[in-house]
Order: sequence, then structure tokens, then C-alpha cells
Amino acid sequence: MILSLILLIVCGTVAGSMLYGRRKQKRAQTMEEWALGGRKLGTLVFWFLNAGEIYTTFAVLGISGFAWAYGAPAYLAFCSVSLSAALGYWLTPMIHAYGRRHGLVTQADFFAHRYQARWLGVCVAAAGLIALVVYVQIQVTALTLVVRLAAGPWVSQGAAAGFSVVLMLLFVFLAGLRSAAFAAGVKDVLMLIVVIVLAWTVASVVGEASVLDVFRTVGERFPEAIRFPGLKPELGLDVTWLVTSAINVALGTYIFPHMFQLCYSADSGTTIRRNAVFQPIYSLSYFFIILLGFAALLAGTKAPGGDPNALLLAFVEQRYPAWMLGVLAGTASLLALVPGSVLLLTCGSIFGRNIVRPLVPTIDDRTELLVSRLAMVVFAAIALYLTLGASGSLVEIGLSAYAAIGMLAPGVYCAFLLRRTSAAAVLCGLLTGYAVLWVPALSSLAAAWFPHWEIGLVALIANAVVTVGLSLASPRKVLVAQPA
Amino acid sequence: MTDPTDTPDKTGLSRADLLLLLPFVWQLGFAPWANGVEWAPLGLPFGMVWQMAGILFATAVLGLRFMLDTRNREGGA
Repeated sequence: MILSLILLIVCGTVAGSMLYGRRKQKRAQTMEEWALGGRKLGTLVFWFLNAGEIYTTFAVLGISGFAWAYGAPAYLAFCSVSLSAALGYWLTPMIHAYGRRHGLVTQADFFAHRYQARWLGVCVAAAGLIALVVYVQIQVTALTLVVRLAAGPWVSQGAAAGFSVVLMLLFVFLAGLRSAAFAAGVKDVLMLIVVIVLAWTVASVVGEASVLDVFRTVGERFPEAIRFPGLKPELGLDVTWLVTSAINVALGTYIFPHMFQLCYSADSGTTIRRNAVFQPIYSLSYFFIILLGFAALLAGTKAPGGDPNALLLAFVEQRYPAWMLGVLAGTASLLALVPGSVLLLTCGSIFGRNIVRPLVPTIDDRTELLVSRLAMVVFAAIALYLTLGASGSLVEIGLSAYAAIGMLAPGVYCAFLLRRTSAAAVLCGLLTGYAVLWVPALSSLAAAWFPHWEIGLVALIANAVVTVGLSLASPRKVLVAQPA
Repeated sequence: MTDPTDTPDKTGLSRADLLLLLPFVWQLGFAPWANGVEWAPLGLPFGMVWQMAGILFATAVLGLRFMLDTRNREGGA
């Protein structure tokens, strides 16, 4: 029952994507009309579709498990979108204008052009790929949970993870290349239905009169859960952690290569700004996710192996009929497969355009395409390797992806704030930041000096200090033919 | 190749950008205070209600900023 529902949802979406992709190629004009008609959707429908988009793997499986395991630290979800939007309101129109003016395609193009150094473009492409692969790891971790749920506990973690990566690659080649948009739409609608049904019924399922009573009872039975530092004070997830993590997420959101490229493709700066105004509202819907995590806490749900990522699936398995679990698991697969395929495609194109082409300028288009397809397989394999080695919650993996991408942030912000920043300074800052993140001696020093800080923000500050310091210390470059 | 700094577009910071700091002040600056409040409106934890109110506040601030930008563009251009 569960397995067949999962297969129905995933295979149905793949088939739909393939059909939709074919129609799109054949009848592009009608599709355009259809898209224009889409803009006339009522505000309420439009709001719901966007609210669906906010439900990512990180949010649904990650935040619910985080609320169950740690309590209040899950409130971080409420800061992530609004603060990113506040910063994005200032940053993204400038990225858009710069990209449009100079005809850029990728983020690495931006660095290569702004700092007049092709080698910096190559370094930035590599740095972006590292962060994207960690982001793919989130999706693989989630898909592994679903595979183990469907196949039973006799399948080892490693085999399930390997199978998940194969599934993801199949999805990329069958559906992602044709139409990620269709699969994304199905995912948004299904996820929204699942969350509404679960949130609607959860109070009675755990024996409370209303949603508000779920929170009231959690406050009475687990008073430490509803405020920082939460249920596990020894982990140091206190207000300092909230503030530094939220700042790091806000600084990093638009630095992710796929988000950065999204800024280029918007039709105007005004459109980007208007989007920034409405984005935060959708993140109110994280309320339902935290509600589910807290309800599981009241129900005394035990996640298999204590793994917070598996919490939501375990809770629904124990408290809901089998068909509900099947729908949730199928939707969770899409939740992982859709962004996973978009991320892998981005990885492939960045690798082809910004690493292979600058290094082997004579390569022809066909070979470049082949190389970037092969690169996707390699990146998926790296994500698999990372998944096997990791044991953290999805929120922690997510934060480490933000830490990795944050290393490119000083180069982006300086591009708009400090005219004399040089390519060499950006690279030195980048290396300093990575050293703080990944050299164990330095990261433990950072942890000792900045207790309970998100390490990514410490590394980002070190990176920014080096970048700005070196730029100010170096002699001012004489700019020829500078317009007044 | 176009010159990297040859840009007529607005870059850097302006006074109006200070508005964009307000959501940070609400959601992060007041987070230590909100965490200590015992009152639970409708039974909901105050720290969580504060963050959700922060989302509404951020929307209001961004909306105000968008309005100001639109008015300036119409007046200036």
C-alpha cells in the first residue's frame, strides 16, 4: 500500500513531466499563453502555490524533527525567509542590473567580470559547487529515509542511500531535463494538501482539543522546549546561536549559485523588489511544521535510531492510517527529487561553463554537454559519500551548506560596496574562510573565542576582514578611461 | 568587454536602506527579550509569536520601502 502510493506519485510525476516537456517543445506559443493566463490567477490561489514552494526538504522533515528533538531552536525557520528578503531587497536588484548590463549567465561569470580575472571565476565555480553538493546531500538524506521506510529496516543505510542517488539521477535524466517546473508544481500542491490535512487533524490525533492546546500542553509538560536553549541546553542552541545562524542564512541565501542566477532572469528590478515584499508572508506557514514536531513530542513518538530527520515519517506511521503515510512518503520523495535534480543540473552547467571551458578553451559544444552530464553523476556520487559519513540533522546539514556558500558572500557584497576590492583579496578571503571552517585547529579556536556562534558566520567575518583589509592596504589601481 | 565598474545603476547604500535593518532589530535584536517573556498569548509560546509577528513586521517594512521607491521613481524620472 505504502510502496504503491509512493510509486504512483513519483512515476506519475515523471510521466507528467515528460508529457508536459514534449508539449512545451512542440507548442511553445500556446504554453506562453497558458503561462500568461497563469498570472491572472486569483491572489488566494497564487498565495497557496507560493506557500507550497516554501515547503522544502529542509523545512518539512528538517524543522519538524528539530522542533521535536530540540524545541525552540526550530523558530530559526521564522527568521530565515523574512531576513533574507530584507537583505535581498537591497542586494538582488543590483545583481540583476549588473548581470543584465554585462550579459552574464552564471555566478562565476559575475566574479570573473567584476574582478577582471578568469581564474577567479574558476575558483568561484569550484566553491559554488562545494556548497551545492552539500545542498544535494540534504535531498539524498531525505530520500534515503523514504527508501528505508518503503523497503523495510533490513535494507542497510548505505544501500538505501546508494539507491536514492540512482533514483535522483534517473529523475534528472527522465524528468529534470525536460520539465522541472511541472514536477515542482505537483510537489507544491501535494505538499500543501498533506500539511493542511496533517495540521487539521493533529490535535485530535494526540488527544488535544485544539491546535492551541497542543502548544499549551507542550508548554506545561516540556517548559524548556518552548524557549531557548531548548530541550538540549548542552548543545548550545541558545539565542546567540539563533542570531548568528539567522544572519548567516540571510547573508548566504542569494549567494547560492542557483539563487544568484535566478536574479539575472527576473524581468525587472521592480519585479524582484515586489517579490521580496511578499515572500516573508509565506514563511508563516512554518507554524504548521513546528506544530507537527511539537505534537510528536506530546505523543511520545520515538524516531528510529533517534534520528530527528525520520521523526515526521515515524509520527505519521504510528498515528495515521497507512494511506496517509504513503501520500506523505511519496510527496517527500518529490520534495527531495525536484530540488535535487535542479541542483544537479546547476552543478553540471557550472562545471561545463566555468571550469571546463576556461581550462580547455578548444572544447566543442557537444563534448561540453557530455562532460557536464558526466559531471552530474560525479557530483551525485560525492553527495552520496557525504551522506554516508554524516549523522547530523537536516537543519545542521543545511547550515553547513550556508556556511560553505557564505565564503563567496564577501566577494559579492564588496563588488557593490567597495570599488577597489581586488581579485587577489577575494581569493585570500575565501581561503581564510575555508581554513576557519575546515582546519580543525582553527575551527576549535573559533568555537572557543565565539562560544555558541554559528561557525559559518565566524568564518564569513574572518573572510570579510581579510578581503576588505587587503583591498584597502593594496595601492589604489589606476583606472583608465573612468567615466565621470 | 564591458568595463566592470562602468555602471549607471545604483550601487552602495542609501539612507532608505536603514529601513531594511528594522526586521533584523525585531527578529534578532529583541530575541533575547522575547525569550524571557512568560506570557503565552492564546497558549502559544511568546518567543514563537514574536518571530511570527516579526514576519508581519518585515512585510510591512518592505511594503513601505517598496512604496517609497515607487514614489521616488515616479517623482524623479
